[in-house]
Amino acid sequence: MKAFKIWTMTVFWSIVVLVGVVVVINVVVDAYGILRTDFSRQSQVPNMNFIKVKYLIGNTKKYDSLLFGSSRVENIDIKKITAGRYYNMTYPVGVPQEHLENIRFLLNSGMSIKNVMIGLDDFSCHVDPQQHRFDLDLQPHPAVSGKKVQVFYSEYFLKLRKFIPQLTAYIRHNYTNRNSPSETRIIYDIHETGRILCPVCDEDIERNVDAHIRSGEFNKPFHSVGDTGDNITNTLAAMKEIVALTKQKHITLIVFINPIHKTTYLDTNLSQFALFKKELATITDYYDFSGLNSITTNNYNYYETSHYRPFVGDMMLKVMFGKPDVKVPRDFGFHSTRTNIDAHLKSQCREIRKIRNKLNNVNAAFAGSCEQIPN
Amino acid sequence: MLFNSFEFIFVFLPVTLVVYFLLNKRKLTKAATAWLVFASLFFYSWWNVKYLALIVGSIIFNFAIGTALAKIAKSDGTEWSKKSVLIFGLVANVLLLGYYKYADFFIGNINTLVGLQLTFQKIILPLGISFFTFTQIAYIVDAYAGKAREYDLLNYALFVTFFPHLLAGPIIHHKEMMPQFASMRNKVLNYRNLSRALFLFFIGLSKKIIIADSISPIANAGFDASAQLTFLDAWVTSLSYTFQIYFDFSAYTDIALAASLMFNIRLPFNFNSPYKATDITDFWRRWHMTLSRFLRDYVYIPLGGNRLGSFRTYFNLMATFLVGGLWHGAGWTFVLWGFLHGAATVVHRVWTKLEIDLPRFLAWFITINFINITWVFFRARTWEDALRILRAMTGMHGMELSSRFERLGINFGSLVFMHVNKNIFYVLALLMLIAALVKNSNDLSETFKPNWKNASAIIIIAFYTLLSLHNVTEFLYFNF
Repeated sequence: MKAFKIWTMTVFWSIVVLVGVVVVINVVVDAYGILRTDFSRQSQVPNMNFIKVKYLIGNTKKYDSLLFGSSRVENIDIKKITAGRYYNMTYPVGVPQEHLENIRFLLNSGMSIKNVMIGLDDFSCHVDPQQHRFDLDLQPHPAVSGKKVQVFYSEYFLKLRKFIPQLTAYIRHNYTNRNSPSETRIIYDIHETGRILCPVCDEDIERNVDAHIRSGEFNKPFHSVGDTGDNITNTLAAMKEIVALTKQKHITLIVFINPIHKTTYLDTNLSQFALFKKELATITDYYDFSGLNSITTNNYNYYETSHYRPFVGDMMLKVMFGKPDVKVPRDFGFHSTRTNIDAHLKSQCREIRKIRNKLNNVNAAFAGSCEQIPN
Repeated sequence: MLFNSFEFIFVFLPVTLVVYFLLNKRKLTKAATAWLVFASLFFYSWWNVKYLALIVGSIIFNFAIGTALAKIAKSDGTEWSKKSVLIFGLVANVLLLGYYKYADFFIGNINTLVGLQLTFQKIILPLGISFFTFTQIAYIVDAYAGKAREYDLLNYALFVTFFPHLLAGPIIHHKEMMPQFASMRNKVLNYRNLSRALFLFFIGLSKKIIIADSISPIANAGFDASAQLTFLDAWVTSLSYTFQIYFDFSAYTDIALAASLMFNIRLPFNFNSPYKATDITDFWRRWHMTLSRFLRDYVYIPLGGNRLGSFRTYFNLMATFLVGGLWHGAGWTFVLWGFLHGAATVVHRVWTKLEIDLPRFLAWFITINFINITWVFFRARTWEDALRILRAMTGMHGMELSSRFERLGINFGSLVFMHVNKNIFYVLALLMLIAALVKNSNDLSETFKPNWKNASAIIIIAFYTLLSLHNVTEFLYFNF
């Protein structure tokens, strides 16, 4: 019997110690920022959806306006919007179904919301947010998703996945390379604007504009995970619900489509995107900054083929609010409505037809028939 | 609560175990029993507290039936009165199961046959209802036959609710469990049992997490895309499910047996390397053994078993397998699955009489293929899906080969499952070897002797599986 006792105790305590060590390290590293309140030493992009909702739950009176969207929308400086106390409630690959759930949850949590802005993307009608429920970078707050709290936290701390890379990133970020420029360039302004800032990134571009514009990175389209599906119906249904909810709660809603870099734009399924835009116009008016215009075709305005730079965000604000006082090209931004959407889409089609020979098969077919689309 | 969930492994099981043995240590045996019943009901309610009343009601009802049968026997009541109480009990149990499990199936068939538009009830199947109903049917039949007596509601409640077997079996008998619960020796922490339980627990958990859950996406992808499958796809799909269901369900049983053994209670074995079977009868002696035992004792033998001539034996076998098929689910695909297994058992009976022995490998090959093909009906959502996969398995949807052949200059196109797991051929081959040649977990735990090798293996397995629990999925047999 003694041998059985020794075996049991050895196995039991070895498991407890080994698993315990992993849990403690995961808690200390906290790569996704789940337990963190100070983001000044964050070694990777935290789960923005979770941490922003968590922050707002504790600060329901601080803001009365929310700007939703994907990480591209991070680059809109909400401090320049004077109509309301805005928080930049954006998160990577954020899509309308997630925004709807968050709006509902925040309203139920006692937040008084006066304005909501929603930025949409090419992938908004492709990505199924259900995929985000199992993604540690993207999953919503458990109070929003209904996931069991113990499951949610154990996913972050009782795990081996990415254990070594996250631990080494943590050590590099906090100890070995603590003060190096590469480790300090990103600022997570969670407790004020909600934005991720990278002033150094812009300084780097300005130091060598030509090299930036000619960078090979601008030939690679950006597509997020799941950006090949068809989620138009669900996305439009969510938008419909957002419109109904904001009407019911007397919330001002502004919808816009982000300026999408030409490389990514021309690599997306344009006929699907056109259909999405047309249907969206029947639900709500919106500003369309996408298409081939003088902003989206100039690499200078982008960090890469996904994220536009903050001064582009200022131009978008100027189109939507008349402020701040910046110069905006005439072809940038179109106010789409139920009555003018067909003309607008035809005009975007014409732009595409001009470069038909540069398009992939799907979009070449679309360009060929785009005078008839949408009917 | 799932056996492979954090709350079960890190909170429920240790707390229940510690409190149970502490109460017993202080000679509070009644309180220990009550604690175990309370913990088991808590375990059940974790899924949905609304159904707590259902299981409690079922327990009280069947206890009352059992008590009534015992009283009638004691007071020399007539056989007729005993039989009427038994029939009342059986009908009530079958109706309960029928309502929750078969109402929509029944409505759907009526609508199809008569052309009515009756509304589907969309009733949620309460977890474990098939298992706790069968367990209690066995009890009242045993009580009728004078093989089981229970005058203590708490003991009876423990017999039915004891959490290791509550949700997906094994299906137990009153007479094999109650002496164990009553034994004073079993109320003391036993390190021999605890070490074997830990050993078995982590073997089960690894079968679930490392094997079953990693091949389930392959099976799911295939069954969801049945129309697109070609020859190899279809075989990979069906074999993936064949291994998934075995490793999933036997993993559940391993964990159930292990959790029970921690309390010094031995549950009956449910699996004995079923894919080593060399004929269909052998398969049913090895697969879900407690269900086979139930169907044999409470359906096949009461129908007359093999005592009424060959034809009647074949009829009884078919009827038993049809009941078995329907027990698994409310659908014609399950009925057909039962029918095919019944028919194969009849054919095997006839074959045995001919006394022609097949070479062992050939017998195994035919058996495993039959089982694999019939699982397609079991798993497919619809009749059409099943037929599509079977047609593809026979090459009627083309013989497309993997894109990896492209490097030889042959372009056959791409396979559905290649998007999920590129190494699936090797994985399936390895699983076949494990299922057909390696000692099963029961054998391993029965011959368990503590040494540093198995301690190290279990520590590594436990470390990996516990840190992979966030990918938790339900056990397949929760659906039945």
